[in-house]
Parts: sequence; structure tokens; C-alpha cells
Amino acid sequence: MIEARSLEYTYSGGVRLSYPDISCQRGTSCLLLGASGSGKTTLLHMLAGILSPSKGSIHFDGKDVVQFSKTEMNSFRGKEIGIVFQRPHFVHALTVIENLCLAQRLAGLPVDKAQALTLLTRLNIAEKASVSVKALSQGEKQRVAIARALINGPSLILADEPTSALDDANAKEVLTLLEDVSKESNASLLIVTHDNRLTDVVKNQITLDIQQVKTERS
Amino acid sequence: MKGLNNFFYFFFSFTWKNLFSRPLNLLLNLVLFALGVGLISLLLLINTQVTEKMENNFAGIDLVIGAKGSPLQMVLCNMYHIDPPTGNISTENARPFLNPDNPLIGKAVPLSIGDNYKGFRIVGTNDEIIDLYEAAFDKGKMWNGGTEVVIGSRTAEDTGLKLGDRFKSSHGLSSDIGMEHDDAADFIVVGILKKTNSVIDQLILCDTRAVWAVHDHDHGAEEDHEGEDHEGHDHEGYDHEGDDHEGHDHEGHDHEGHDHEGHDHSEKIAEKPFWEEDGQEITALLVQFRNKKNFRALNLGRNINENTDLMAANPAYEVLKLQGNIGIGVDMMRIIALIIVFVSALSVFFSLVNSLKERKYELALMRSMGASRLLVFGLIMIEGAFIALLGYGLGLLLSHGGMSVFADMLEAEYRYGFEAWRFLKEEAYMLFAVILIGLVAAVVPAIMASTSDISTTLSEE
Repeated sequence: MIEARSLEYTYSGGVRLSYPDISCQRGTSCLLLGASGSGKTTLLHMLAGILSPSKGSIHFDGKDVVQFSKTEMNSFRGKEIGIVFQRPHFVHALTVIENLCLAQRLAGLPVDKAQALTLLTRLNIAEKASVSVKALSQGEKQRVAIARALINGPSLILADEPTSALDDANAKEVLTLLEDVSKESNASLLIVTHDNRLTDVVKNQITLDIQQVKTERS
Repeated sequence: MKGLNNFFYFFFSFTWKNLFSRPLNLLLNLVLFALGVGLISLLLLINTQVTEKMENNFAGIDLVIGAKGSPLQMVLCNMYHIDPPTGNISTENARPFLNPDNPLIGKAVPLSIGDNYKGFRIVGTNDEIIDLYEAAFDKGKMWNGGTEVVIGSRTAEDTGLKLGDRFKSSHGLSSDIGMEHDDAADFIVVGILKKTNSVIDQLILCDTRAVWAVHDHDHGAEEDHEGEDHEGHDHEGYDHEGDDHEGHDHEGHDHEGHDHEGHDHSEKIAEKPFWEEDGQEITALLVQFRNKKNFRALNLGRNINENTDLMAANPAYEVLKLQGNIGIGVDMMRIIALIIVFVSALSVFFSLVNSLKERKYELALMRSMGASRLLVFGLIMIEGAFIALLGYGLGLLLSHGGMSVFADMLEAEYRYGFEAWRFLKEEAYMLFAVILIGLVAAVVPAIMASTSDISTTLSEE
């Protein structure tokens, strides 16, 4: 499970944001709701270890990852955290399966094509495995992005507005897919969003209340 | 070890795929690198081989003596066999230098130039030329007067002449058709020399008198032709008697006239050295001094030029002057090549920086997936080195390919063989230099890529 306590982030301009405590069990999902500008992406980057919080702790199954060095964090993130970005981006020179295998390699794990193919089959896009990522539709890209987030069997899946660019049908399908696969792999799923279509579906919700965002001049 | 191999394979294929995803950029960079590298390599190839040819043919010759004209032309004609002669000199004038009693001159090799067989020069000379070029016999033996010839290894290879083969010479120095000395006696191949890498490889050597005989004969024949033609014209009505034709073609007629006398003559005076014959000509003399430091020997050239109708030239000096003149052109080309290499480095730099704009997000993504800064830095550096390496390969292909075309041209024109696919040490050094240039061009983009802020980049829309 993931637990974040009294997280604060200070921007270089001196603006400081503080966040509510977050906790999400393995195999469950949780929505982090907030309006634009409420520091959603900053929170996600802190949880992913891309940004360091100025205060607070983030525990993965009891380990405080805020204390990790950059190198440790890089390798931890590669193995334990899968990120689905708002816009699905890939290494454009590579094919779908090569992008998945790249994720394995960059995490320092052995390249396992068969596993990648199984995952693509699970997500119903196995037939696109050898296609260049440039040739995919939006919906297909989102699926491949999910596959990439899952490829290394992470304990946490972070999704940043995964449905904002999708229509209702696709949004629902993506959400179901995310919930299903995170449950199957016993991972915590944290979705950062302001998409109201999701609030009806996911029970566990934390609102990033704009009131809690304090701005101070230092 | 397998992991390491995998790692390199990954670097290699990843770089390859990334470069090929922007083919036009890659092409521009490759063409620029290839041009620069190719030009430098071509200059190196030509320069090395021309210098080698020049030096292999020095053969310890201190002085070339011939007819007045351009000293460079005389040296090129008689030592390198690529220019026509400046003229001929009489045996009377050449005599003092050929006399073995001359205290200054160790060796004086006469040359009579003016005929060819299939473009290979026939040189009337004496047996000392074999020692001069340190040649040795592969097959057969030295000529023994008459029309016997000894041929160089290249001559043998290209003309297909074998021991015992007979051929007719052609007038002039190139293999133009219709210039055969039809009526002269055949030359007979009696010896083939081993390869020496000097100009002797591409010559046909015979006794000085053999060349004289062909020309005396030729003269006689021509005169006969003229005479008979006139007769034919004058007596058109009598043509059907057939005497005319027989007389024209039959060598017996000539024999009775000029040749018989000539033969007898030369056989009678065989004991007498050729240079003691009056009224004959040779083209030039290649001279080695008895003592290269002798003051009078060193002044011999100037004395000849000032006090005689002959011209003397110091080959080392003439060749140095020629190389100096060529050198200016070579230097210009070299500067141009270096500028091209510099531009190609700039081009690699710009296209890497440009590509980073497109790939900023995917590089940030890779770092979010666990790639270290060092890995990203390395990937961009490898791209620079890779472009340089490919450009280098293409450049060498270009220069050696170009050299092989150039070599064919030179060979057709001058009978000099150039090796197009010989690789030089300098080209190996160039490989390191080129890769270094590729890496230097990639340093700044690589630093940019590895230090960019992932969070900011990933937050951008």
C-alpha cells in the first residue's frame, strides 16, 4: 500500500502547496480530485519520485521513499511505479512492443517479449504489437500507455487525467481496464483527475481542496 | 557478459532506429561527413601514391641530360615516362658522358624514346638500366642485340606478351591505330623482369641500335612508298602488269635497297660501342655521378646548360618544384575539406539540438521509466558518434571508389597503376578524429537532454 503524510511542495517562486494525507491499499483504487491549478500534477510527480516534497513522507509498504537517493529512486520508480500520463507519449522511433520492452530494460529488468505480448493480448491490442506507435489511434495509444505502466508489475499505478481526451465510451472502458488490471496485479491505483464521469464509478475519493492550498511569500 | 552484450545491442539498435526515424536529417549529415572525409582521404591516397611513384623512380639518378626545352618535361619524359621528349641529342654530343673513362660519371644510361607497343613505351638503352632500377629477371635473359626486347612485369601482364612472342612497334607514344612500323622487323621478347614498383615495370627495353634500325628502316620504307606511289600515279596504265604491287609489298625490295646494307653495316661494327657511331640520335641520358659530393660533378649540370647545346636537369630539384606547385592545390583542397568537416560537425550539432525539441518529452518519459541522466547523455553522444562513423564509412567508400575510377583513367593515360583499395594508416587516425568530432558536436545537446527537468517537461502540454 501507499501512504503519503503531510506532503508539502514549495515552488521556486516561493509558493507552497500542502496536500491532504493519501492512503491507498493494494488492489484498490482511489481518485484524487481537484480543479486545474490545484497542484494535481505536482502531487503525482511527488508520488512518482520525479519531484521531491519539501516536507512530509511517502511510504511504500512501509519504506519511506522520500529518503531515497536519486539513483535509488530512478530504479525504484522503474520497477514499482507505473505511470499513465495525460497524453500518451512514446519513443516514436520504436514499435508498440519495442516501447514496452524499453520500459523493461530501463527499469533494469530482463527483456521479456512474451510477457509484453501477453499483456497486449489482455488489453486487446496484440495485433498492433509490431506497429509503429505513430500509427496508433488515440484509444489505442491510451491502451498501450496502460500496458507500458503495467509491464513491470508495479505496486502503484499513477494515472494523470487518463480519460480527459476520451469520449464517454472510451473513458469508461479505460477506467474499467485500469481498475481490472490493477486488481489483477494487486497494485494500488491512484487516478488524478477532474473528470466528473469517474466520480460516480470510483468510491474512494480524496479531494484536493483549494482551501488547503496556502500561498505564502517568503 | 550477456547483459553487457544486450546493453550494447540496445544502444546500437536504439540509436539506429532514432536516427532512421529522421532520414532526411541523417542523409544531410552523412553526405556532409562523407564529403569531408572522402576529400581528405582521396587527397591522402593520391598524395601518398604519387609521392611513392616519384620516389621509387628516383633510382639514384643525379642528372638527366637531353635536348634543350623544359627541364621538368625532360625529367617527366625520361624518368617517369609521362611526357613526350624535349627532342633528341646527337651521339656526338652524348659521347663524352657515355665514355666509361669520364672521371665524374659513374653510370650513364642512354634512352631512345619514340615508339610504343599498345601504349607501352619502347626504350632503346643498354643493359645498365637493369641495375639502375635494381630489376631482376623473372623469365628469360638479357637481349643480345638485334630486335630482342626485355619487358617489364606490367607490360607483360597487360599486353599478354610472353617469351618468344613477336610484335611490331608503333610510332609515337600512345597506341594510335595506323602508326605501326609495318615494314620493320618484328621485336622478339627474350626476357621478362620481376616487379620492381618502379617505372621499368611498364617499359619495353631493347638495345639502342634496335630503335635506330626500326627508324632507319622506316625512313627507307617511307621513301620507297613515296617513290612507288609516284610511279603508280605516273604509270597508271601499266598497273595491270602487277610488278607494282609485288614491289610495294615485298620486303625483298627494301632489303636489296637499304636494309641489307644496314644489317651488314651494324654487324661489321658490332665491336664498336653504339655511342661511337656518328650521325645517330638518342633522347636522353640518365646519369649517376661517380662521387655525389664531387664539386665538379655538382657543377656538371650548370656547365652543360651554359656551355653546350644540351640541357641537364637535377630530377630531385625538378620533382620538388613540381610537388611544390601541386602542393598549393592540395593545400587548398585540404582547407576546403576541413571546412566541410567543420560544417558537418555544425550540422550534426544543429540536427541533434533540433531533434531534442521533438524528443524532449520522450527523453523525459524514458527518465521517468528509470533511465539515468548518464544513460540519456550517453544515448545522445552515441548518436553523434554514430553519424560520424557512418559518414566516415561512406566517405572512405567515396574516396576509394573515386580513386578506382581515377586509377583507371591514369592507367589508360600514363600506364601508371594506382591501388584504389589500399588503406592508409592516416585513414585509421582519421577514424578517431571523426568520431571525436561527432562526440564533440553531441556534447552540448547531450548535456541539454540529460539535465532537462523531467517534471516540467512532462507537465507541458
